[in-house]
Amino acid sequence: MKFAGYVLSGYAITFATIGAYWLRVVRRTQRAESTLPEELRDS
Amino acid sequence: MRLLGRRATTALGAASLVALAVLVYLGLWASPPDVNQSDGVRLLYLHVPSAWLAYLAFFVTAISSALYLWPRTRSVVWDLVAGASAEIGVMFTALTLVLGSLWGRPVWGVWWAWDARLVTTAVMFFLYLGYLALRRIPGGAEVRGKRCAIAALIAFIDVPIVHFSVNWWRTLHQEGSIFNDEMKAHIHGLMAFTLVWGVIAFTVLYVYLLSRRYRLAAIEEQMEEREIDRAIAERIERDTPVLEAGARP
Repeated sequence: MKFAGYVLSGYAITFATIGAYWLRVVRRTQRAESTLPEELRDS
Repeated sequence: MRLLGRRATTALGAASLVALAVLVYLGLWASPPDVNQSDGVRLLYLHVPSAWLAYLAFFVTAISSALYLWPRTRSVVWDLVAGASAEIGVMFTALTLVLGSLWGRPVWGVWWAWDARLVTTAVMFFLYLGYLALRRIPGGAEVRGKRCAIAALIAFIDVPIVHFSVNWWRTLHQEGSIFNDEMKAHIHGLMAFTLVWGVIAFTVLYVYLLSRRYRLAAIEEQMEEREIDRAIAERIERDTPVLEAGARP
């Protein structure tokens, strides 16, 4: 593949960014949910 | 506190994962190299959907902000949707700029050019970064909601400027491959399919991320309200004189 360094870097950066963002949102949600009263956790 | 049901969100997450895996296969292996850009074209299967997603996210932010400002439809839901969508939009605008730069170096020979499309996209990124900073400034929910909604509508003016910059000015950046002045597609076959697939995959991902980010925002909003209620209750309790048994107020 020509320009492999640029192409693979682009794919790696994109999916690492999306994955990191998703993980951050999931972890923050779990942390926040744990402080809510039981009846509100799954509403 | 959910934008979509739990099952719908899980299904969207799974669909995004599958769609992105197929996009990687199409983008890196199945689609052929371009005659002029060679394998550099493979970056465009991420760059174009990222740019589309930024437009979509900021459009949703603008619509939600308008609905928040309109007294008949005012609801904290619209304010939270606007904030959640803007955050996703900023992330994809940053990706658009990085991917464009990675594509530009081998194809144009430069990482960056002071080109109308590139500059207006960078301006869009900083405008919405400012919007996100504005959301973090403390204040009453309604005051914050109104000022952020106005800021979002002002920032949205830049979105059509970004899109039409390649038509309005002579730029290094090429015109749209599908949505151009003549509305004539300059991309065909498997390359066109991969590009369209990328746009669909990123759109599904956007809906999934928006649903998750909205839930987080809604929980945080509720926590903030509970904190305020607790602080008010503590203050009232502290300031109310304790009466001795049998004493008259």
